[in-house]
Amino acid sequence: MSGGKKKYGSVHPISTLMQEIVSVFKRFGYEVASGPELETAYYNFEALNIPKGHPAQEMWDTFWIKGQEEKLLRTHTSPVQVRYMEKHKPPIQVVVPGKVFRNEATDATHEVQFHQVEGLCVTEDATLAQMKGVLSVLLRKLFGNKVQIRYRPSFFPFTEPSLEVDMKRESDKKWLEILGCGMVHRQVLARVGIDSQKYRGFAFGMGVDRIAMLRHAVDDVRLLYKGDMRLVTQF
Amino acid sequence: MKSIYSHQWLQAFFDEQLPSPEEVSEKLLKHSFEVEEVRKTGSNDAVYELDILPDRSVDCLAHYGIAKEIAAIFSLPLKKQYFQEQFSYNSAAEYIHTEKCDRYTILKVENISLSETPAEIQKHLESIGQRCINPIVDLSNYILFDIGQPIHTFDAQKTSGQFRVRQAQKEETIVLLGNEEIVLQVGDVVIADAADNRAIALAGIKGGEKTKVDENTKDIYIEIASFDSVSVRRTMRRTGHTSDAALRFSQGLPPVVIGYTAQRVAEVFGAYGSIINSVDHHRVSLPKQRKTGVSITEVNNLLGSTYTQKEIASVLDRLGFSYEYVDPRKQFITAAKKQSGKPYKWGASVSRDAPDTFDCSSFVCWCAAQAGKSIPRMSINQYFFATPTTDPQPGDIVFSVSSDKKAITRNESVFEEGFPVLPGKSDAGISHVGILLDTDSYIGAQGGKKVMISKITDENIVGFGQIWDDKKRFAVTVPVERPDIQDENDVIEEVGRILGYDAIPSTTPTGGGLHSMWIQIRNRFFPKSSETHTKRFLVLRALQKIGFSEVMTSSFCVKDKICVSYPVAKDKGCLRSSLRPGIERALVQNAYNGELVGLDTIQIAEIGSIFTEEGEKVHLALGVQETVGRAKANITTIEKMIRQVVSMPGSFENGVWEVALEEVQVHKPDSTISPISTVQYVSPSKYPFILRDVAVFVPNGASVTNTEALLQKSGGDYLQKINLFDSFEKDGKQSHAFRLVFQSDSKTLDDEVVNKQMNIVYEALKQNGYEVR
Repeated sequence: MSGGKKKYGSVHPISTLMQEIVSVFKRFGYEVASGPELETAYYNFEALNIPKGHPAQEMWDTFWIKGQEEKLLRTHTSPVQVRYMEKHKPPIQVVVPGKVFRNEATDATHEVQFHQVEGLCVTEDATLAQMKGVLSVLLRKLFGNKVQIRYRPSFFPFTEPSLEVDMKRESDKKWLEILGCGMVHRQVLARVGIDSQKYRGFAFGMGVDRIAMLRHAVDDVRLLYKGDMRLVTQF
Repeated sequence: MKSIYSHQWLQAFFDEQLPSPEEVSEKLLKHSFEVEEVRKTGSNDAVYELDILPDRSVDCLAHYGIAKEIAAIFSLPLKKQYFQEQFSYNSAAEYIHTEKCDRYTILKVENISLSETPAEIQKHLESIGQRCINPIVDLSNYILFDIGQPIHTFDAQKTSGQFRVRQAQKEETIVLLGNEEIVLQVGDVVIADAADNRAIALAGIKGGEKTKVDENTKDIYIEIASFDSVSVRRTMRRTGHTSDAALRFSQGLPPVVIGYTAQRVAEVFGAYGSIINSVDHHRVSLPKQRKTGVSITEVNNLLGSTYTQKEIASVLDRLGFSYEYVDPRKQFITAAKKQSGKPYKWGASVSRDAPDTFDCSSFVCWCAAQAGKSIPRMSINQYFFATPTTDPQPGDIVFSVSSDKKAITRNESVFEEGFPVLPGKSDAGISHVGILLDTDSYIGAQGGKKVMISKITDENIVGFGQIWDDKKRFAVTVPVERPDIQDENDVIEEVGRILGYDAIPSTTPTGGGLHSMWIQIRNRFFPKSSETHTKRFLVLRALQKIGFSEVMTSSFCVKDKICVSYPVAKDKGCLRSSLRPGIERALVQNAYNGELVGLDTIQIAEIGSIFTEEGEKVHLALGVQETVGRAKANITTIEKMIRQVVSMPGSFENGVWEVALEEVQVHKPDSTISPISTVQYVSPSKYPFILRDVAVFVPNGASVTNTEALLQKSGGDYLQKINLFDSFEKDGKQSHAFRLVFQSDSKTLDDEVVNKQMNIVYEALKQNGYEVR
């Protein structure tokens, strides 16, 4: 409660967290990439093995752009993976932070805009075990060495096998979903011209807002996007 | 999709006692699906609410599917199995009505004598919250939640018995069950009574009132069909009418499972009436059982595990997948030779026509599947898929081009029958493919003839390809109710999840070797400041040092050029073409709260995308405004400070300075990463604050910190913030002026309370030698 003028400004907790996550992967030799928020249906869905009209498309509530066929606000950062793979040959290790959008009713845990960090590794010998290795380093870094993690089956059209990772919250011993991951689907590799008999990959993605809320005890996600200094200056 | 299951219903599939609901739920979560809830019901039952993954909607939105999962997880034998035997229909017909339904089958059951629903079925239905209505409807519901296929029953007295599936006409109406009339649109699919062409049911969603079964119904038609998932979904959404059937159809139910469901329907209804007639209409020939497979090496290479043949075999056994462990090369040749004499048909489908007819590449593809490998369907793609070899062995593939047939030289499509291949180009062209038997003969489906052994003629050969690594393989027959199992990765996923992902070690990634090391070095010493994320961070870091705080505002706005189709809220219909409005709003709000956060000037920055007709661009916007009640912000000084850390074109206009991020240059990039913050956020109070200023001449030796401590101590619980806003020296005396911010977390403070507290503050100051001005 000390008065006086604060010399330094604050960086938004979402930015700080994205930077931290990205830095973990940079130490593993990952490149950082960004991509457009206004995407095409091809990159957001089809290139990720989610064909038109497929029920899987409904896993994502999408903002479609009025009067522009096939244009949308990206529902995940995964399109950037595709764009990156189109331009780079394996071995590929890339991490993608960015803002994403979902067309759903807002409440304390849902906001139409939020942030994700996504990672992709395509090498000749990538394995699910390696993916577990990378993710455990990340989660220990974010939540401390004692963090308890569990892996369980999931489904994403762009990975096979697909997994969900849960973390046990210390305060109430509750398991919370923290990220989704899996081995890159062969269709996704083939689309960008990568030989899926020679190369394998793993990919993962996490909601930054959710992690920020857990870490800093923010009880309403909407507070993060109000431009309110009463929040920002606490960090 | 969430669905409810009863423990006792699941128990009905096993002779052995199931583990406790707690144990079942814990294991289901780790090996199959997320368990939303498990709760005890009644004396000895429990219900599970599971979130079924979308690729398992065919089998697992029903008790049988979950029973199979439990059987696999706990290695328990199933007492009864479905999807083993197909019903044999009296008559089959090519289906001609509409493309919105792949298969439509009808069973007629007469003289149903069932006065009430069997107690066991009633108990099961009630345990998952289903209301028992009528014995016939209850049996239908039982079948739905037991095997997973929705069926519909029509009262035979109320229809002509001739059904037609057709698209609805414009403005057509139908009265649904429950006597509600709705207006249909073209694109909706209905079941019509062929006698008068009137719609009697909304396909896959709800039956009609006119033909519903009631307490007098004795004879019924049972519809078991496969409706188009997209149409069902669309109609369901538009009309707002939904049902357990509609939810399942909207996920897609393959036509092939219908024959198996019909078998179960015949068993259940056959116990209470006689099945008189049955018709099977299908639009396309039905797929045969699919084969794929995997080798031990493939499993362990993908998972990073060390699973043995025995462990993998146990997973397949527990899942009820039938398989052989084969020498693939031998199996490939054996399977091929067995098909000798089968007729050639150009464009024969691997899934539907084989092994009755083949063309040359469908033959190779089908034979490879028999040996446990999924390979591309088209010869040109098989050419790219196979590894070229100059020392061909029996069981390799021979590619040739014939002079009389147009060769395919290019592969444009990357996908065919769900199999990924690389786009590529062969100059020689491929028109024929076969399986090598020895140095001078091969077996293949010969154009216009049949599957036969032929001599190799050198001039036509384009090359030989290997598809086998000579490791034994599991050649797996995919159960009919598991359309999600397409190729080896799907089988590997089954191994991974059933043996448990916790069992797979966590290893250090080798990454991309030297390439990755180089990137590590580059990341560390030469950060790529052109990359948006990195630049964003560097710019914010530089601005932070001169007092700017980062904010994030909404990407949406009320009105702009680029808009979204279905906005969530009226004020979020369009995308911002400038960061200015968001920053201005934030300035106003923060200027009001400035004292609370201890700032005389609000300095905020946002970096974010803006959207115009020219496209998307990342912008930086800076905003400056004085806190309400404070001296006007000195824009010139702030601009000067900004220019010391970054160069960017323009200047502040009405408190906001917006530029494209690419135009911003950071003078001294600082890429240090802040230590991990564990700050616990405290919600600001919802109640207004009250300000009081106090100016004092301080006694000798009292520092600002001492003074603040004294104010804090005497200021009471409501004193939230002490802001020093003025200091000067006069006649050798030091003066400080503080602004005190009072606020409660639980109520609106009134002046009286604050005044009282201020008196305590004044008193404390005086006692400590301060002179209150």
